[in-house]
Parts: sequence; structure tokens; C-alpha cells
Amino acid sequence: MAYKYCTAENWGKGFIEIGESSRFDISGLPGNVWRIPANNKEANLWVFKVAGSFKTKAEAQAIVDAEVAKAQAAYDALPEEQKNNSINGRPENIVLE
Amino acid sequence: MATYYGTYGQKVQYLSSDPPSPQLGQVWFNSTSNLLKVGVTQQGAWATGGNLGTGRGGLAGAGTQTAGLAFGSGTPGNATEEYDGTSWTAGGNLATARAFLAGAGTQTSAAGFGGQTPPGVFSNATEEYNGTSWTAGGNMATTRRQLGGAGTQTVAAAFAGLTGDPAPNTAATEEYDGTSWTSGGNLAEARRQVGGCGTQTAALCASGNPSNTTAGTTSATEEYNGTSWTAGGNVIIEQFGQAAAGTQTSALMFGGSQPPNTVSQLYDGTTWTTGGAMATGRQDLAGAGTQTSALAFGGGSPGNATEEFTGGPVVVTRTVTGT
Repeated sequence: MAYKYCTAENWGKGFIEIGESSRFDISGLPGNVWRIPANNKEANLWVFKVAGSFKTKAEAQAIVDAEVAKAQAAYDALPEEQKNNSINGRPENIVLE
Repeated sequence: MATYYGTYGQKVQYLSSDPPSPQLGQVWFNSTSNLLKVGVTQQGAWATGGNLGTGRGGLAGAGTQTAGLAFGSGTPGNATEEYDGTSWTAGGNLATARAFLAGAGTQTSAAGFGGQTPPGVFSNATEEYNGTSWTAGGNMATTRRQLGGAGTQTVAAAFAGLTGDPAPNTAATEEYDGTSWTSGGNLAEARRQVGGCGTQTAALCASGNPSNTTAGTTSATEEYNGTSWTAGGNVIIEQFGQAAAGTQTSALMFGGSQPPNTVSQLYDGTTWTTGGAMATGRQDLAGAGTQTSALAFGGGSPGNATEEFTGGPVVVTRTVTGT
């Protein structure tokens, strides 16, 4: 499956509607990055609706990496006791497909 | 060699883009992506709802899709928000700030119980919400966080959870009558971060983390009848830190880990099936509503996303893969 990426701010109600999520897969990633199927007219129309900005895979990966690095740095800065009590552990890197 | 035309009496359509409303069983070749596509049935779909004012994971929920309640966790950990089907507004604050608590009831008659108060003290406290403010209820016998909850403010059940750090998961169930907690039957499998829903006399406890110290999952589903737990159908995808909504025989479980994901699964009292995926993968979220009209909120980062599930079959596009 080939994907495209865009950035768009999720404003909440109406950002993704049932008629959209049932017609194509929309997957949210850190940094307001959204993954949609490539070569899909409906998905492209959704990006237009949400005033999204298309990103290349490399650009999207860089945004995601920066957000994950920020979260990892926040985790690394925690005192050891809080790290030990952390429920989820250190955020993991995400590799875009 | 058999051909599609020979078998079905028609040729596969060549389309430059996927049809906006595919029919069930419709097959086409997307000449732009060079992929064979088919319209298949999926149970339900998610749409975004209004964002929480306070992003947070490890919160609790109650109510319905159009009258939801979010409370606990985040900073400072006592915030309550009320959802009207469109947006969240601030409600009264919990007296005791805490995370990883459980919830039961409705937006105007809810109970919150258990959890972990900053900086890591486990709680057995119950608070009751009347749509405006929280007041103290009875304490549970077993102090715990990441527990499951079911029922209403005055007829609730608490089950599973982690009892200390480090300390074991519990199998204990407790029943609330609006004043005090009494012990119920034990789960067969002690665990935490479960998917819990239903009522005090018909509760559901699905999947979760059976490990006392590390990340782990179980496929076990257990059903409570007010006295004892019995085994139900195993979940398809094991999770921990997921949310659940609905009843024992008509439940929806969504999100969870590991890693944070978008999965939703539906239970009919016997068998689990997969449903439409959420847009935002997350764990330690909260849920409210029913199997066909559910609400997912919080969890993950930044933790303010809300999504609304509408049940029923919808025809979606899937790529045909394999040999």
C-alpha cells in the first residue's frame, strides 16, 4: 500500500467525518502528521478540506522524528524514580511506511 | 486458468481513482496506483469529535457519546470536562487529583474510584459527581490503579488493577451501592489496564496486562454475573491500556498498546470481531457510550483527541493482496 503524508491541525468535530474514515484510512502521527492512501481522490479532497499541507515522506518523517525526540528528551530528563514509575516507558521511534 | 470474466461474467473495472461509495463486493483495478481493490464490509467507523481542553492519558470516563464525562489525570490531575456531542466544557474538579482511576455512571451521576495520586500513592477513594461537583463516597477495600469499572454511580463494580508498585495485580472485584463497597467474586486472571464495561451484575473484563512488572497482554475475556466471573471469547488483538464501552453482550473495545494503536474490536457476548480503526493511535484513553455510539477521548500525546464511533456495517475499500 502506498501512502501520502500531510500536516493539518486537528480542530476536533468535523475534522474527520464518518463518510471520510469509512472511505479511506486516515492515520494520525505525532506532530500533526496524517497518513492517507496515495492516489486516492477522496483522501486528497479531505486534505483540501482540512487545509492540509502535503509533505514528502522524508519531510513527514523529520517532523515525526522531531516530536518523538522531544518526548524522549522529556522522558530522559525525568528523575530515575519517576522513570521507574512511568507507565509507558520511553517513547519509541516511529518509522513511516 | 480461470478468469474473473469466466467466473463472474463481467470484467474488472479499470478506474483512475477509487469510487467514493464502493458497493459490497465491487472489484476494480486502480490504474493510477496499479492495485486491485474490493469493497468489503467493516463494522462501524470513527469521526473526530471536539478536542478535550486538557490533554491527558490515564483519565476516566462515563456517560454517552453526546453527554460524556472525562475526569482525572493530566496537570494538576483533578480536571473534569463535560461533552455535549460537539465540544468539551469544564466541570467541577475532583477533590483528589489522581490518574489511572476508573469511572461509572452518567454525565450527571458519575462515580470515580481508585487510581494513583501524585507522586505515586495508590488510592482506594471514591468520589461521586452530580453534574456540578464531586463529593466523597465510600472507600474500596483494595487500593489500586489501572482498574476496570462498570455500572452506575449507585450500583457499580470495580475489578482488576495494580495494587502497589511493585506489587501484584489483583483479581479482586468490589461492588458499590452508592455508600460502601463489598467484595464480589474474583477474576480468574489477575491483571490491570483492562477493558471494562457493562453493569454490576453483567460486567465485562477484556484483555489487559497480566504482568506485575512489565508490559504484557492476555487475550482473556471474563464475564461477571454479580457473583462470579466466567470465561468469554478471547479477544482478537490483545491490548493493555485500552478503553471499552457498552454492555457485556454488546461491547466495543478500542485503542491500547503496545505500541499505541487504533484498533477497535466488537463483542457480542460470545465472539470478538474487528471494527473500524480510530485515526489517532493511543493508550490509556477513556471511553463512554454504547457499542454502536461510543466516545473515545484522551490518551497518547498530546492527549486531547476525541473520536466518535458509529456502529453498523459500512462498505470500505480494501486492497487485494496475496497470491
